[in-house]
Amino acid sequence: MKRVFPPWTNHLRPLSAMAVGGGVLYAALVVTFGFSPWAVDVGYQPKQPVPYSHTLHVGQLGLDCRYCHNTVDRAKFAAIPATETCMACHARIRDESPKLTAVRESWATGQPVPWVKVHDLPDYAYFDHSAHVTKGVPCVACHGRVDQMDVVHQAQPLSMGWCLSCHRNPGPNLRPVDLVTKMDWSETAVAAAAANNPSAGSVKPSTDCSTCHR
Amino acid sequence: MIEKEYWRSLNELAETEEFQSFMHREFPDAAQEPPGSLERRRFLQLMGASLSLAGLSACRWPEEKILPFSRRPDDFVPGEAKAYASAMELGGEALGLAITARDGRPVKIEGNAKHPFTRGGTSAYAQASILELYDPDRSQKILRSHGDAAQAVGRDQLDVFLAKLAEDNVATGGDGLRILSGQVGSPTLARLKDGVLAKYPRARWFEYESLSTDAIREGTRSLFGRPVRPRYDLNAADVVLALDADILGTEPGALAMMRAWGERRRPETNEVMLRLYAAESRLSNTGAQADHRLPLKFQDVGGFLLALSAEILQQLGTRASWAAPTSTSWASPKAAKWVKAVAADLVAHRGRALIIPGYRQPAQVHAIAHFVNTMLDATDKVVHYLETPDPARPTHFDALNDLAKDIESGQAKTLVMIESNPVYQAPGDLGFAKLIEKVPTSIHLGLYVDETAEKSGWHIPAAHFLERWGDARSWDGTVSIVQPLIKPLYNGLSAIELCLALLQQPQDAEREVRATFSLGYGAASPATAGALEDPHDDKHPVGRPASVERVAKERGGAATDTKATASVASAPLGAAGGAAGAAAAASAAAGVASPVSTEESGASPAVSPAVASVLPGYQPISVFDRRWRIALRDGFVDGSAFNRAVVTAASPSVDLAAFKEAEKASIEITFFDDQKLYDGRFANNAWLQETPEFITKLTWDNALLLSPTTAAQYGVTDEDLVKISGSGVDVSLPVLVVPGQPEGSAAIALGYGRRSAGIVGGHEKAGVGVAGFDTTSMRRSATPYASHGLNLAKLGRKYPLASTQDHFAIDDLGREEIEKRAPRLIREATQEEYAKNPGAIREMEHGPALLSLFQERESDGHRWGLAVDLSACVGCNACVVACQSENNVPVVGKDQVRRGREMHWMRIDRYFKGPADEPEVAVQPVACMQCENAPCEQVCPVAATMHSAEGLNDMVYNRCIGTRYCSNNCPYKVRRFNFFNYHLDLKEPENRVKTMVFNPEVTVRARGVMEKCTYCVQRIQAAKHTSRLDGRPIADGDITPACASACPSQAIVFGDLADPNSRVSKAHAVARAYAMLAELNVKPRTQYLARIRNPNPALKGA
Repeated sequence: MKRVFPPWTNHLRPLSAMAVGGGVLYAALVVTFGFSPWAVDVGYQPKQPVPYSHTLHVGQLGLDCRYCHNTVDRAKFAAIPATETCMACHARIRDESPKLTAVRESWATGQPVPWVKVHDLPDYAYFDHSAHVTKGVPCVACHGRVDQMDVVHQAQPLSMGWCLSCHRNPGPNLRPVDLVTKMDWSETAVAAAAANNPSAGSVKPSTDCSTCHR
Repeated sequence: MIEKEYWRSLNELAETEEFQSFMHREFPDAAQEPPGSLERRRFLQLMGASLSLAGLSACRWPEEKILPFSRRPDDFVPGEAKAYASAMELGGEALGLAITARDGRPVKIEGNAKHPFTRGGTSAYAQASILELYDPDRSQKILRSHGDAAQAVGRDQLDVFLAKLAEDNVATGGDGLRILSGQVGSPTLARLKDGVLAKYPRARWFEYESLSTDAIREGTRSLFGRPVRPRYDLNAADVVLALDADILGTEPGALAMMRAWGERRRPETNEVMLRLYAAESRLSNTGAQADHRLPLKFQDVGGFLLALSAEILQQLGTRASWAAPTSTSWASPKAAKWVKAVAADLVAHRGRALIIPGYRQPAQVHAIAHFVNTMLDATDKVVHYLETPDPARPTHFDALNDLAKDIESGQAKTLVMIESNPVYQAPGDLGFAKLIEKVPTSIHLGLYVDETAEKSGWHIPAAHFLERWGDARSWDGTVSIVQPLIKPLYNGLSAIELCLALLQQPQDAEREVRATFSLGYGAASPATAGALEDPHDDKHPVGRPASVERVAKERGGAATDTKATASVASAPLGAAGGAAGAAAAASAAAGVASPVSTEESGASPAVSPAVASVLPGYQPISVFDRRWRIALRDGFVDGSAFNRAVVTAASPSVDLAAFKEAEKASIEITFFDDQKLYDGRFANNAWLQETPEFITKLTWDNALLLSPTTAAQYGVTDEDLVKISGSGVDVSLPVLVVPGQPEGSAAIALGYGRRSAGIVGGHEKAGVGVAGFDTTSMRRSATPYASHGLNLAKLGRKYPLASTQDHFAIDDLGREEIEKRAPRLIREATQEEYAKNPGAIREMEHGPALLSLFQERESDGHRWGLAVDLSACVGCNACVVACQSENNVPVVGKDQVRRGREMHWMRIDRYFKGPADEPEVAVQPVACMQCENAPCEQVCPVAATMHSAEGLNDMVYNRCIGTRYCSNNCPYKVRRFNFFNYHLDLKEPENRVKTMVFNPEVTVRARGVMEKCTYCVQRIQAAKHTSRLDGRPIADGDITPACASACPSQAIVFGDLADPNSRVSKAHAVARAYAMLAELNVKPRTQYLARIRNPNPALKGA
């Protein structure tokens, strides 16, 4: 029988075995971590039509989230504010800033400002802001430290497993309802609040499929 | 206990092979093959392409934009639903509606529960009208035709043309101007019509409805001296004879009668149940519900009535002024027995007994029936005669004949057709298709470029009723304001706006509707009596009486022209609907109930100086605006119903020649409205086309309906094509054998065979096959609803029909051993039997104690459940279409329906019982039962169907891999599989508008997944959110699934079984409640309330 490979290639055997095994392992790792929402969704930071800075408005000026997102506690959508909300201040403040051209145009023409959606759930998942905010789930739990974002990015994976982890054990994330928009809570403050939060025990989120999927 | 055999089709009765194949295969023959043959190579190419596409697409889904308002209206919450009251008009009759809109987009039609006449009931038409709004086939451009070619022109050209038209006609006094419209039911349009005829004294206006109910007017005219409208009050009746009248279906005012039917047929709340007899020429919903039914040829109905009324008068101790007809072809022994027994029953219940003649029957039948009603002391007790508007109007068919003569003689020079399609709808003897070409200038206003539009010089797109201002009156006269929910998608015009153009007035429909409102509607009620000035209106509306103008001048008029410019609906339904609604609600009691004396002029009340100093420029809402907003919010104008007519009946003159014996040799054909396409105007509505007709379960077609005996005589069977001759036009169409059809009489549904309907209903020029067969050409304007002396000839060819009657039949054949003891799927008893032994219904089920294989789930929260009262259900299909609309259920088409792939989550099973020629009928709506021990859940390999804590079988589309095991294991056969992607067409740019009809709260399913009824889980979740925000528990009645909400007879009740006081718990607790297939121990959450019949003992065995 004729040899196909010369004898010296015997030394390559473990090497090639390692290469094949490593390749499989690599592929598995790529699929597991590379396709995970932590890798593909967290950090998503699209360019917005107006360079609006949450750092300035929330972090430095101290606007409450609900000043602009004013349907968050009574509707499914938190509502991106109407141009009118911007113009309430910017009709007089920085009324000639070139950064606000798109806003002034929208105000003049009545056409909307085309904001790009950052937190984009799949169409088959039905999320309700009011159901969470009125039960003491703070904004920061899902949206991260928006007060430190010049341009908003996605801070959490918003995947089903991530949602369920809280639905199964909501306690650590709950706050007193009047403090849900407070951004800067330390770990200890959170723990203390969770311990003292009278409503924490009464929150029993459902894990039924039809809670979010219809 | 009764032991009767139920069957669903003649195939089942005969146990044919075809039926067996449906029974034993979960999915019928060839269900798994794709449509058409896809070669393997082609398949691989496709697969390759889609794989490479998958590789190219990014890891993220496409970027989405959020477009907030520039200025958001005060009470507007993005994404939240809001309901607005409006009304839909059909044949001049309004139906009160509450329309759900999200983000300014109407998505769902509901009944307006506040409406005093329709009381929240809806029809399949109303439910499906939302699809019509977003139909991409609607006409979108103004067309001007030059010979054969039509050219799109701009609005400016139309305006120039209309202005010139008006000018020319002013000069000639409207000589040669002819206007054709449907029945004018709108008070504003009626006022403008008077205005047009006053401005152009030589013009003529014709009203034509293909499904005309004018026989009612003419019958009462000949009896009482003037036409009146009968409003039947079944709540006050104990015995009713429906004489070829589909009072639970197509008769005018049927929704109110269906509601009353539901209320009067529950043994729990009625000591004396309503008893219904039906003598009819086709098996209708009414006949199916009747306690006794007599099939009669159309022609024999009058003769039967003559004999019956003679008998009634004799029993009352008087004598008829007419002689009974000598020959009585209908006088079978059964009919003879009927005459005696029914007459005795009617007489015994004098004052609570009623004969209702159907609108298809000739006027003479109506005159006699109402005369007998008078003798039975029914007037003002069970039938209320109301003044009818426009008593001098000629009948629709006379009007159309006059128009035809005007065209023939060349007197009609300009023909304006307002939402009318005479080329298709006119009876064949008028030959309108040819006639219309003789008119020098023809203008057509319509939703579609239909048969008439194609032959008209001008075509103007019409605005849908959800896009325009208007008003309409229900059968009892209650006025509803029609308010726009959305701006016209294609810049359509409304009839009111077109009339205003003819009147050389600004085209502001809202102002005209307000003006009509300010004039009142001629009814004696404090809310509408007298004239109320619209303070925003300084111009005098057309046709406003001089006295009103004088009053306005004396009061100094209100000259401010600060008219609200809102172009979409402004007053939401319900007090919780926002600022305007709340303000109107707060003022509702004070503003309407007590007459306001100082503010009667309608101007704003004076502002106190204190208020004026704080709020400069503040204007309080005027009395007029307050009333207007209340009318808009509630969806009706309080107290605007027609006045009661005081009538006296003379003995009717009877022309016996009209009751001549039906000829035995030939066949009679009757035309009916099958509650799907109406007069053809809904031919392009896919939801209605695919709705299975109540009796035949036929979709996408009409057919010649023959009784088994008649079919055997002619040697024809289902799907055989036959030629009908003898009417001047030969028409070929397929036969469908239907039990219960009278011998020697055939029935055909109108509205089919539209040659220019659209992609759905068919379009010959575009090469799209026509759905159904045009039979309007066979109609005669003298006898529009029946043709006699026709001949049938078998053509020897077949035409495939798509009937769903054998689909999803529940298999109880396999249990022959226990057959005698087997619980029936559908259970009935007579009132007598039920009173004697209320437990009888549940005793129909025998078996060992049930043990479960599984550990059963305990629930401590809500336990959702549903109850369907089979005593109340009339099988009208409103729920089926409502479910389709609410849950984004796709339409699959005729070919797929033939393969048993229809997707309706809810089906209405219809069973026959007894002999094939005169069967009894039972109906049973079936949807997912949300079993507690659900067999579907136990076989799903991927946990795609899961049980929720509240007892719902949640379907998770994303997990489903399409094994269809769940469907195989479902004993009720309620699961539906998406064999294809039924939404592929949405990718075409012209079909984008169709996506607007989807309910955004429900996932649009992809190919390869299973779906089924969810108890409208999105509504359950919405109610939970609302109650949480309000800080209260969910109350009984907060959640109404789409089917229950649409039901005109209130047969469906939904609620929480954990609450013993909920309506559904109480319904499940009554003795006639039973679970279907309870012996399987699947513990369905839906239970049925057995139908209780109320037969006349004197007619036993007849």
